[in-house]
Amino acid sequence: MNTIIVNNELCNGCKICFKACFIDVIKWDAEARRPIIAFPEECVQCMFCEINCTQRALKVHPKYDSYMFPRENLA
Amino acid sequence: MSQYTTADVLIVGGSIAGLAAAITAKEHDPSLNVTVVEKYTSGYAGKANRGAGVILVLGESTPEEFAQFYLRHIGMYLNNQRALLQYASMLNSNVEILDKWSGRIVKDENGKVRTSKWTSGPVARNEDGTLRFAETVEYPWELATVDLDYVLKIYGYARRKGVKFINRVGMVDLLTDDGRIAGIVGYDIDDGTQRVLTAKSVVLACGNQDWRVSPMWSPARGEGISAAFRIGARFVNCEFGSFYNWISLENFESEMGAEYALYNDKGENIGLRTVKDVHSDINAESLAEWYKQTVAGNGPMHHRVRENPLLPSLESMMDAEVMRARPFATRFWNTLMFNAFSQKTNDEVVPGLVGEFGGLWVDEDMATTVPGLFAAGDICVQGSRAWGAVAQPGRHRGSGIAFGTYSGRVAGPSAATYAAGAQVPIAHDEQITAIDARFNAPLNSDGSLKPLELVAEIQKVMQPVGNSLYRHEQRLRSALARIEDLKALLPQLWATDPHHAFGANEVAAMLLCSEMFFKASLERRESLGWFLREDCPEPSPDGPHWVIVENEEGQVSVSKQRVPLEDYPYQP
Repeated sequence: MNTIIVNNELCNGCKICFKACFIDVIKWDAEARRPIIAFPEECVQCMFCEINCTQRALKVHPKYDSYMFPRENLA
Repeated sequence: MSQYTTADVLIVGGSIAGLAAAITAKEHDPSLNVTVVEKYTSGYAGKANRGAGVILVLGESTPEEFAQFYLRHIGMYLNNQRALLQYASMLNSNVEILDKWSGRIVKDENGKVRTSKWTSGPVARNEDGTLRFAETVEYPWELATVDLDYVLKIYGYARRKGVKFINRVGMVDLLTDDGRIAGIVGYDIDDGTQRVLTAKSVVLACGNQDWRVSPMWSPARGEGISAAFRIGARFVNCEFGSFYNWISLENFESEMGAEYALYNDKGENIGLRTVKDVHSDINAESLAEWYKQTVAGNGPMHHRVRENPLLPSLESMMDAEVMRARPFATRFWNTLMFNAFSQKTNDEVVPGLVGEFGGLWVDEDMATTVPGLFAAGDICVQGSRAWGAVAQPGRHRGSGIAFGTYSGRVAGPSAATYAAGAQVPIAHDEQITAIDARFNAPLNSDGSLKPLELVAEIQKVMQPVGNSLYRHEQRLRSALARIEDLKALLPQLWATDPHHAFGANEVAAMLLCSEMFFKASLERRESLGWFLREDCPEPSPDGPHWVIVENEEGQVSVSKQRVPLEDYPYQP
C-alpha cells in the first residue's frame, strides 16, 4: 500500500492535510493536533495532502503495484 | 443523539457544481438560508480540482454551430436538444463567472481569457494513407484553463456571500413529505452522529458512480444516485455510464491519444483503423478493437508514444505561459507525473474503467422527477440528455468543469425559486428511523465481510471491456447475475466505525448502479455512438430512443421512450 509519512516536528497542526483528503484516508487527532493516517490502504495517491502542506511536513510514497485494480479481469 | 438543522435550499456536495448552485441560489434570493453539506471538506472535495483544469468554451462558434456538430458526430441525436443548446449558450459565460468567483482563470496581458483550439483529430489522409494533422482543426469549441486551487477560492467566495457550510457530514438518504422533498439524513463521518437536515428544496451535487476503479475518480461512489432511486426519482441513459481511458497498469495515469499509436504484440497498428476523420477524443471502437485483439491472443497492446500525433498539440495546449500562470496545477501535475513515470517500465496500455455513471433524470431547469429535488454536476450528466449517445466526458475534454458550472448555475436559481414558494416540509420520524436502521446495520452485524472485499468483487464485474463497453447479451446476463449474487452478500457487511459504515453504504450504491447499468444495457439492442453491442452491431431501425430506469416497488425497472425529434430544431 501507499506510505504516508508525517514529520511531527515540522507539522504545525494546521489541519490542511486532513481537509485536503477527498476520501477519508486521513483522520485528525484533536488532542495532539496531528494527522492520523487511518486508512492508507485506500489512498489513491492524489497527492493533495502533500502538495497543500505549507510546512513540507508530509510525504506520500505511492506503491502502484498494490493499488486495488482488477488486473486479471480486463477483457 | 440526532442533530436537527433547517435550511431553505440544501445543496449536497461542496465541489464545483454544488458551489455554483449555492452561490447562484443565494444571489437569486439573498433572504434564503442556503446550506451546503459536504461529506469531506468543501473546496478540497470532489474531482473538479484534480483534473487537467481545462474548461470547454465556444470561442467564436455559435451555440447553434456547436449543437449541430455535436448532434451529428457525437450525440447521434439522442440528445435533449433544448438542454444541449442551453448548455452551449452558457459555455462562454461560465468562464467569466468562474473568474469572478475565483480569479484563477488564465488570462493574457490584456485581461482576456486565454484559449487554445482543440486539435485532437486528423484533418485528412495523405496519399500513402497515413493521417494528416493540422494545428487548428475546425472543432466548434476551444479550451480555457484554470489553476486547480480555484474550487477553494470559490468556497471562500460562497462563504462571504452568506452560504452556510456543514463539512464532514455524508448524506445517506433523502427525506420526503407527501411526495415532495423534505431534506436529508446524513452522518458525521468522524464520530457517526446522525444529522437530520430539513429543507424546502435540495440540490444533489454529490457526484456520480465510478466504482473506485480509477484512482483519481475514487470519491464518486454513487450514494446520491442510490438515495434518489430509493425515493422514486427517474433515471435515463444509464447504459452510457462506462467511460474508459487508455491507462498504464503500472501507474493508472491516462495515455491520451493512444488509439493513434496502438500496436498489438505482433507489431501491427490496430488503433488507426478505428480513427475517423472527425475524432474529437477517444472512441469506443478503438477500445473494442483492444478487446478483439486480446481475445484473439494478440495481446498485450502497446502504446508507441513517439508515434502519437496528439502529443505535440497536448504539449502546446499546456504551453509555458499557461503553466507559469498556474502554480498550483503545475505543482500538482509535476508531482503526479514524477511519481507515475519514475515507476513506469513498459509501454503496455489497457482500457481502464473510469465509469462516470450519472443518469439522474433532470429537465432544463435541473429538476428531477421528485418535486423539490434538483441536481447538478456529474450525477446528472447523462440524465440531462444534453450530450446524447456518449459517455462522460462526452468526447469533448474540458466538459466536466463546464457542465458542473453550467448545471449549478441553472439548478441554484431553480431550487431557490421552488423554496421561495414552498411550505416548510415535515421530516417524518418513521423515515428517519428506517434510514438509521439501514445505515447502522453493518455496525450491529454479526457478519465478517469488509466493504473493500466486496468492492474488489464488484470491480471484477465492472472493469471488463466485454461487460461494460463491447457488450453482448450473454455477457450482460452473466454480469447481472453476478451482481445479484453480490447483492445477497450485503447483510454480511461488517463495520466497526463510521468510516466502514459509510463504506457499506457505498457498496450498496455501487451494486445498485451496476444493476441499473446492466439492465439498461440489455434494453438497448443496438450500437450507437459510445454504446456498442457485439450482438447488435447496427443502430436500431426504430430511431433514437432513451432507456428509462425507474424504481418499481424497490426493483430496477426499464422501459423505452422515443426521442421526440419533432419537438426539436435539428433532424438527423
